[in-house]
Amino acid sequence: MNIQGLIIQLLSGISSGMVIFLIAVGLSLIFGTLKVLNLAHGALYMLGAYLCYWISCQLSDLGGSFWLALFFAPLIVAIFGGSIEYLLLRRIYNREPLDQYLLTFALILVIGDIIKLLWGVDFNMVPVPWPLNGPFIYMGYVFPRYNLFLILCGPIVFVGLWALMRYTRLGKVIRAITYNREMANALGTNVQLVYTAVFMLGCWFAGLGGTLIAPLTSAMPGMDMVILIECFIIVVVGGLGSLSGAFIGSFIFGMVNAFGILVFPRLAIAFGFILMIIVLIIRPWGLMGKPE
Amino acid sequence: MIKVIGKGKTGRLSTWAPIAIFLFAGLPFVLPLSWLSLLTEMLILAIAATALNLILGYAGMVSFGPAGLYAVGAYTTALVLIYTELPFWLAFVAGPLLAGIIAIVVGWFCVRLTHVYFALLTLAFSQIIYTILFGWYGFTKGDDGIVGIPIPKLLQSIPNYYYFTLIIIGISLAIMWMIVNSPFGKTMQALRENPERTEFIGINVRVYQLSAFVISGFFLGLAGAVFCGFSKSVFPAYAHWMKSAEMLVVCLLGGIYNFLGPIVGSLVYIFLDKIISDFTHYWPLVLGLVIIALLLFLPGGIAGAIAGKLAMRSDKG
Amino acid sequence: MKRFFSCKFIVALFSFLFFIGLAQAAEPIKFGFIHSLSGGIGQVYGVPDLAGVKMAVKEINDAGGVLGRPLEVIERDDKLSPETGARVAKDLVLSDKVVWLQGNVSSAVALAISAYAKEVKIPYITSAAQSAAITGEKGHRYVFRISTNTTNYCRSIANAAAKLWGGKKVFILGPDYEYGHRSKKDFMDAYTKAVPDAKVVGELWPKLGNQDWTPYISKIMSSDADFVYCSLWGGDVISFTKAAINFGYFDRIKHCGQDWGNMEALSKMDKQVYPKGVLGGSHYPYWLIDNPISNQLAGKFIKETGMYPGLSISGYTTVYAMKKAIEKAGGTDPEKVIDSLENLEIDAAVGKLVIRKCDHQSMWPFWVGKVIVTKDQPWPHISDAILLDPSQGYRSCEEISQVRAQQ
Repeated sequence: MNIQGLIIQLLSGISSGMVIFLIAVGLSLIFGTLKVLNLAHGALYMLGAYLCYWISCQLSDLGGSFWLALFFAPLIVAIFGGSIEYLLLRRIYNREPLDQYLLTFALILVIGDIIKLLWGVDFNMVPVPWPLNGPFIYMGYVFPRYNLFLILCGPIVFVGLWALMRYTRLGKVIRAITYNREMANALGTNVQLVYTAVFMLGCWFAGLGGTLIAPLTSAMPGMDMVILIECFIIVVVGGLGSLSGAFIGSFIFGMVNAFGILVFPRLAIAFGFILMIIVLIIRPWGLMGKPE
Repeated sequence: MIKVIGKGKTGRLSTWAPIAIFLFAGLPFVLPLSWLSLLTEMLILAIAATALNLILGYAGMVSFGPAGLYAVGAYTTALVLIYTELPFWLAFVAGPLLAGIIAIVVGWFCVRLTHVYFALLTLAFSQIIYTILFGWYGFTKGDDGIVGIPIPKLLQSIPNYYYFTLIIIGISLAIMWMIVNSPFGKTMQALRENPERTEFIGINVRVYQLSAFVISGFFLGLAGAVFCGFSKSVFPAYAHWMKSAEMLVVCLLGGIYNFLGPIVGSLVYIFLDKIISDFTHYWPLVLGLVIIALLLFLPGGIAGAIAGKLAMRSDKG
Repeated sequence: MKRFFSCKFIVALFSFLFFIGLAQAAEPIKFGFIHSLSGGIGQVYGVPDLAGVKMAVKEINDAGGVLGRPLEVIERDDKLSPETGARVAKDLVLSDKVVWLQGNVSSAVALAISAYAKEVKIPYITSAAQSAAITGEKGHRYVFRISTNTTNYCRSIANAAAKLWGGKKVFILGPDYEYGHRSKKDFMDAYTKAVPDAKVVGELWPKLGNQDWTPYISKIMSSDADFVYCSLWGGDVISFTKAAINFGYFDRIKHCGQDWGNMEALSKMDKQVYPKGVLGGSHYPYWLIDNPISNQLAGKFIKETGMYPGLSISGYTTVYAMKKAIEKAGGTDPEKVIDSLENLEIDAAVGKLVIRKCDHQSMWPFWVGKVIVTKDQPWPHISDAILLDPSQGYRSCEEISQVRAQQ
């Protein structure tokens, strides 16, 4: 493969990684603060994609319907997530982990079927929004404009979230709770409220990921489980609860995918799991995580 | 809520067991074949779920990957039957044996971790098993699966295989019951409640957990082998995480702190699946709502709720 | 008194028996339909197939049924899983007592149901699963196919690619399971006969239902292959096209694949986003066919179901074939019905079809053409189609008995 091909393949890997970073970061955030592995994260991502499709359809006469969807869809998913947290998740925080897994698993089933009820089982295509459709051509290099846009989204979200954690009051409170919940509670923070806020933020990211990916792949049933397994791999590799870990993990995952298929075409599905096993055996808390 | 399993049930067991055996043995004479077939499936799932519950309810280890070992059992039996001329009983025994051996290897790595990391590693291993079954087309026939597996003429009719399954589940449950009521089983429960304290009194936590994992794996493989004979076919889907999720749900439905819980759970699950699927395409929605309802209102599962009621009644009486 | 009573009684008895007899005569003939009805990839075919089947059932019942009895279809979703497929097949046979089973787009599911059908001796007609092994290597008395198979598929595509392009460097893109690998083998076998020094210069095997196509597309575009042979199908065709459009893929790469011309997938795309110039195949390009049955059926199908027929017309055709076979056999006894099906000639929408006795494969033709949008047909469809004669497309009966002997 020549240099041009390698660079394009590199860009492919980065764009794959950045897309999945947006989704994985939500999962990591929720686990880091609430200590809950939200199995329904993929379902919320799927909800985001379907909402994007629906909003784009409803407002297709309006120009820029995708951008409106980009604003509203994650918001709706966040609100939906908030109500789940308030009504259901709160009751099982102090229970066995198995109960948490089963509750969030049950949500996968419920959300998945509600989506089927509302939108059917068909393929739902969302057009790539202007001005991002079509290829970007530069000196013989061809790469989709939309994927370039996605590559930019990753670092923007990363920096934004980092700044939120570092500089805002909410971020400081979140970090305090993550380190020592009892102490934060004792000092007067409304832990319950922050939990809801963090969960909503995580869901917002899931919805954002779904909305952004909809023009690329279309909204279809089954997309939730594929992405969930990939997210597991990334948060394990990067470290559960770590923002930079999610970023690095996604990057590695994107690279492994892009170049792995060149070297071992048939082992594509196994890569992620082998990576996961290696990390869990050698350094279970991931690259950027802290040992418990 | 004190989670002591099996207390006070030994007395009841000796009265109920022969009645249950009599009932189950008589069913082929009253049930139509399709229901008998469904019942056999339910019994096989019950073996698998009870095996899973050995580590789930008793040892407190949440595994996301029981389906991997179940599939190893099923495929081993299948592969021996189609590639060699060895007799059925040998192929049948090879299933759980190989599952147990693989459980030693997988378990050794997994028990070094706890909680969510343990769960994720078990998931990763079972997905690797799935990948091997799916990808090694030349040997395992990959996505096609293996169909038309030859089983002895005696076992080919539905009622006969039902009796075979009944015998196997009877023996398996008896063995597992003895294990959980042995000192080993009691230690496992203590370990679940308080690992630090148990370690403090000299118990090697890792060894106990690994042993439980291997025993569980053996019986999971056994369930797989029985299912292989039942459906005369095996598919990579047997190792998929959806199957693992099914087993976890079954344990939850019935109640993980009760020996009979998984059995009750599999009965209810298969029954619900059949009834509801006949009415609606939205079986997952119903199942999801049922799980949520159970988690919020019946934390001990169905068996737990019944056991609770019985305990209350015996208190009053 | 007694005589009066017994007279009444006898009349009542006879009336009762008469009505029982009538009820028997009107007892429906049930058959099982198993297909992919949910999930992303397979339902692209499963849902229209079922619609076609229901249309056929209604037409037949309105015209008096089969031997005076109405047809009744019981549909089940196989979720693209062989385990589920086998389980619902068992249920249909044991609980619902169906006379025959049909359906399936996944070859893996079809093989599982085929094995079960052999066990319970009920006819099973696959109407969409394509692997040649189903009626070839693993064929038996109880399995039939009223559709094409991978042999004809791949030979037809290879034939067209050789005629129109003739490139020597081939890039293979296919879903990573048996169907994909079998397609590669069948295609290259046929293609190298026409273009002897053709070879594979690259291959990629994404998993079925892959979502992120970017690394695959970029790899293909940087290779030096002359053209791409792609065995992706159903939903994958749609999602791949969508991703590839943003690379300007179809303007730069020659791309062919057996499943790229079927209307089920193409109808979900539009004038902006479609695989332009791709060499694709179709099981039923109704705009290119001119016979009385097709002319009436195509419009009716689209109007009544709101969907477009292609591969999915097999279900409709199967129902009519079974009607003819049952009438010829004079009843629903499986063995007699199977005997009638063998060498049965059907007047189908694609023309006259014969169900071969040696392997129960129907000699369904397959059209391959370039996918374009024209002014008088402003939707993606294949045009300038090349039709490979079915006698060349399918393996001969001698070949079939040879491969079966090797099993």
